[in-house]
Amino acid sequence: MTIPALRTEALRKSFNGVEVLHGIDLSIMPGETVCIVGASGSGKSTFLRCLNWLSPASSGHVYLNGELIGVRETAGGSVVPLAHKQLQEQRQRIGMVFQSFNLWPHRTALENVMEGPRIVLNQPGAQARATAERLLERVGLAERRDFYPAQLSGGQQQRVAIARALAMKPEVILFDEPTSALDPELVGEVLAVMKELASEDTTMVVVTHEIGFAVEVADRLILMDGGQIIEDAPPRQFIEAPREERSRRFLDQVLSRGLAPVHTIHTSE
Amino acid sequence: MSELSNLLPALPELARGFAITIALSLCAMVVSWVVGAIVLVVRLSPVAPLRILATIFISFMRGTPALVQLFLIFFTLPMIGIKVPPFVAASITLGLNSSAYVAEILRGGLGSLHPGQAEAAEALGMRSWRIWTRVLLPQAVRVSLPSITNELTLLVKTTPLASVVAVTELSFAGQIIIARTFQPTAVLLSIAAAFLVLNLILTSLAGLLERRFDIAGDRR
Repeated sequence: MTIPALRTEALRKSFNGVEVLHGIDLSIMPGETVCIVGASGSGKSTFLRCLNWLSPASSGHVYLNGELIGVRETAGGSVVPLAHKQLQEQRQRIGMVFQSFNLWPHRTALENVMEGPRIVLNQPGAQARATAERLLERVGLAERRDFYPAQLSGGQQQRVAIARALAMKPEVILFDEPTSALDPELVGEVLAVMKELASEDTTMVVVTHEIGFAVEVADRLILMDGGQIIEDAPPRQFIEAPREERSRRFLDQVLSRGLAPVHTIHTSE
Repeated sequence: MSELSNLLPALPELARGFAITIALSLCAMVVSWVVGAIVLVVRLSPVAPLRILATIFISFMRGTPALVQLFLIFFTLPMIGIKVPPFVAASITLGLNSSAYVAEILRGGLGSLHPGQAEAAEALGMRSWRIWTRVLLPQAVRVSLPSITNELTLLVKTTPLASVVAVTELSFAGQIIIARTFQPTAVLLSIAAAFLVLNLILTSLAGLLERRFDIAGDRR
């Protein structure tokens, strides 16, 4: 039996005594692309942030390829937080792409992508540079490598951010609403990169509002509402025969807006 | 005008004083930057006692006269067996004094950064000290540059304080020459001009840096 790339077990999260995630069990197999949809405030972003412990769970567990994340079990059976050093070693294996890109404005596109391999993995500069150049080419931005983030469009920045995550060769990549901050005409280029990653069997968890992308690319589509998983099904089944009434209502709402097309990527700018 | 020729022999003395003023300013700036950055990090540490310590340091340095601080270092430290040469005592005092301001200026700059900046580094698995040196401090310095420049010009103008522990910096050298030549106006104007030139160089260097950062372009 294959071990899930990522697995959560009774994951709960509270902010100031208010519980926003009510015990989530989810397994994501290696190579799977899982898209999580749901209304704002449904807890989907919080859930994603628990997966790499940016937001530590209040209770329950996250396992990365079988290894407990963020905490360890003591000999006495109690669970204690990991030392920051160990946590950071685990996070090297989980990539994350943010809604607001979060590129470092004082570094060029190339330097942003090199930073992880060079500073976190201590790779020699030449090796890190070669990796970064290759990855920027892969997201179609080889020509823009010496540009600073402020000189790039939102779509280009997000593609650099994806290259930055890939540079660490993570076991899983988390996408937190990667296209929500983009102008509509720039969404397609980012989704195209993600689609290509999915087709190469990258393990991906994508929180998104792009239902069209989710249906086209995801192996599984998950609806979250009120801090719980409502529906978890292959996209076709989800769309055509949702089990839950809430899923049907959600679909009515989003499908009335129409599906956004996924464009193919231009490899040279 | 003939009286001014009395001053010619004093020029090397003034030049030596100016050199000491420049050296003192540079040393104090290094102390101010290094200690300022450390105090900032400690001030924001998750460990409460450390935070309190940094806050006390900042209040003390900002709330007491630099003159008193200088005397404390120069006269009190030898009592516990640490003998500090005047130049070193002055560099340390002026630097520490300024570091409290630099720390607070940087803290303001840090507050203007998007929380996602540190988060991206966290998610990548970067260690805390690397996040500080690679992501947070460079950006905090960048947004705070105008205020820091302001603080450094103040620091340069505080260096005459070192004369009270017999460091012959520019203003002290000038007083000695005035006592000998009775030419206060000419000497004082030269000293003022020298300080002005020093600070003009400082501000134009900072201006260059600011423009360089602007090419990097994060003005949004």
